[in-house]
Amino acid sequence: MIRIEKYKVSALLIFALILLFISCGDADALSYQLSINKIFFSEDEGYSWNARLDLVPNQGFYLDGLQIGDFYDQWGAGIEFLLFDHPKFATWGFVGVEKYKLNRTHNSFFKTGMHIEFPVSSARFALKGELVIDDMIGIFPRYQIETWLPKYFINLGVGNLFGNEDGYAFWVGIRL
Amino acid sequence: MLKNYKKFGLILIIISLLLSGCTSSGLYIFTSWFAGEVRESSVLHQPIMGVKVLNTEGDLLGETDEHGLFLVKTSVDNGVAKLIFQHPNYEDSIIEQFVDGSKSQTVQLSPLELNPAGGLITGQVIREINLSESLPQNSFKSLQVNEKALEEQIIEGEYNLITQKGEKWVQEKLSGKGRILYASDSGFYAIILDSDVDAERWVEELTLTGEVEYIALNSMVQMMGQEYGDSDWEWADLWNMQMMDINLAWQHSTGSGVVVAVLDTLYTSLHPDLLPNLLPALDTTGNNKENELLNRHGLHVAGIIGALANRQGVVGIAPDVSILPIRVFNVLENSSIAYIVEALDLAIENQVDVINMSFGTANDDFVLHEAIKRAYEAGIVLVGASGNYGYDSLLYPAAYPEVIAVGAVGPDGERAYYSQYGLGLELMAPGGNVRLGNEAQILSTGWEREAEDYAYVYQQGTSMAAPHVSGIAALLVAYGINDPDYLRLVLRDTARDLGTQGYDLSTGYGLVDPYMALDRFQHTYVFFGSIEDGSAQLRSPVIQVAVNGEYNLSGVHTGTGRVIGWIDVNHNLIIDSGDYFGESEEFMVTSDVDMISEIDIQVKFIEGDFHAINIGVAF
Repeated sequence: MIRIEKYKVSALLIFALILLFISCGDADALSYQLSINKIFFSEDEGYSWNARLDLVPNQGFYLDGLQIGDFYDQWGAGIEFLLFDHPKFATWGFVGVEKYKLNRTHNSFFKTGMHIEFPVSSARFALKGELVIDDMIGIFPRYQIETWLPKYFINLGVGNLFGNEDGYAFWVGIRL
Repeated sequence: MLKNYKKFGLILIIISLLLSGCTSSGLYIFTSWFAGEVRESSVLHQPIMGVKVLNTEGDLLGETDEHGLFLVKTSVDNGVAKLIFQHPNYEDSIIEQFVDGSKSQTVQLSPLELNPAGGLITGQVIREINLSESLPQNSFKSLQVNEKALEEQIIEGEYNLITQKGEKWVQEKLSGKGRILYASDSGFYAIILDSDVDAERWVEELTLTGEVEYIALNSMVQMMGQEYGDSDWEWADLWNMQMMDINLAWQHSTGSGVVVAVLDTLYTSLHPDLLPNLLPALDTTGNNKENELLNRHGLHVAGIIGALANRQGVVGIAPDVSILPIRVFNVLENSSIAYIVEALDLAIENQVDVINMSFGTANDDFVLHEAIKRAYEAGIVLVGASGNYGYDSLLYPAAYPEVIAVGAVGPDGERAYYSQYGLGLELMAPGGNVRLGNEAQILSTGWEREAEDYAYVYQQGTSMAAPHVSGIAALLVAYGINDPDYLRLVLRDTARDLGTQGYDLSTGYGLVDPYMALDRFQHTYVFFGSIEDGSAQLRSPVIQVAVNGEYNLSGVHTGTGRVIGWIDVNHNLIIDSGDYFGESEEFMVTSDVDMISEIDIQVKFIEGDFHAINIGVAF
């Protein structure tokens, strides 16, 4: 099992932040997104939220969280950056770190991945894949697909959030 | 710049995705595997096979294997899994286990208790005792007696006589020629002839009557302590007590309620570290006076046995013991066979538990041996000093097989230069070695001649070694070990081996170890069950036997079996070579019988190749 030390996560984040600030000269606009969802697993349910703040059109920060019952609580932050900007889709990469509390255990994981966003008619779709490097568990993948209707602020999604059969979920919520 | 940054991000993501092939266990939030083992609650903690593991809905998740192990997967409710363990012969057990996100978790389950069962069996575990097999018999011919030394020990005019004709008959024979010094109920007489009597002729005439079983000149006996000055004292100086791990031994016993007779120079003493433990003294020399100068040797010996544990001065091996001082040395510091025989009779009369004899003679005296035998047959533990002349045979009475012969070691754990050894040597104990320094002697209660005051003084000798063993014997007696032979076997079994492996003539069975001797009784077990294919199957809990061997085995399940007992000498919880093992006849426990009593088991030493018997669960 591959584990990542906390100091390595910190070093990686600092390095990514340096890259971010070096490229800040292209800034000409600021955008944000906020989504809050009710999330349904096969065994339980909870809430998730995500906030994105892009300081420039090609990079920004995000904050997110996930809560299930009173036994799982996760929150984290990271940076994201535009990898490809095609007329029909945009590909973003991201790195971040998350803390979570599961019953009496307190752990953290580092995650990295990318999401591809593309419009279909009046809806927008996002395919997201990420790799989680967990202190205790090791490495596992997470993936999801989301669609939202900007006109009605409706957000729908389905995916696997824990890398195994426990992680299958769908969610519905609002996206601003 | 931006281009490079994008390339870096892409490479990072690709590498990460490649790494994802290493593992993909994920976080387990709603399901998890739980592994663990199920054991029973007896002292053996044996694994239980066939325990069903259920969830709260009653769904069967799995069962334990022959090693008591299980691995089950279950869903988790609100982060908590509840597992129920069921077995027809054990009480149900439920555990709540929080998930921690890992794929499988180890469950720590308390041992399962047997279901209540009505059967009750009582009895006693009896250990086979055969002293002659384990201790080489003393070969008296091996003693190299210095004839001149023997002659010097003769007391002219005093005789030890055995006849069954009675005291009146003896008085008649002595009429006008001498007097009786001591007469015992057993037919022993210590007599003294007047100086003008032709002793040889008188003895010849008496012998010709045909009524005399034995008559011989009385001889002197020497004490076996040597004094080499004194010194300030402190606990750190009590290397002997530390060597004995006496603090550990006191967890089990401090000698309360046991009487040790000290046949020595001590009559009585006001020494503050000893006085509360002293019984009213006796004196076979007829002196009957407190004489601290004469007391010194006995005071030192008595302190080793039973000085108070009052955080002042020194402490004895058995700080709560009662000491019966019987003075056998006169003001000239001489003793005799007659004094000692009388003292042994007094000890028997007073029903003491242990007799300490820190003296010796090279003279194998019939009368002395007979008195020793009487004490032995009275169930008294007899302890003697091996002697201080450093040669390869023992002094009497230590050399008699009825007596535990004790040699001395110094603080280095080596046999002291003066300590006599040879056939019959049984145990070693701290006796000191002045060649390693003044403080390498034994510190105990004493009398300081110059200051004329009670003090703590150093002495060395097998006189000091013997009372260590007497004190330990007192601890064992107080703990309930009343059989002197059994007590001796335990002391031998648990001694720390010295020198050549096993018994050797140089150090006997080794250094006496009070804690191990007392702890032995924590490891005697019985249970009801059977032995099939070399494996014992329980039909009852396994219980520890009381110190006196008695047991009450409750919770016995119905069925056919035996009561099986063993002393787990090597503490490995299986019956194997080096342990003591025994079993009763086979019998049946039925539900209509409330109690089965007097199921006694004789346990015997397991020697040589022996297929170890594991203890399993029969149900």
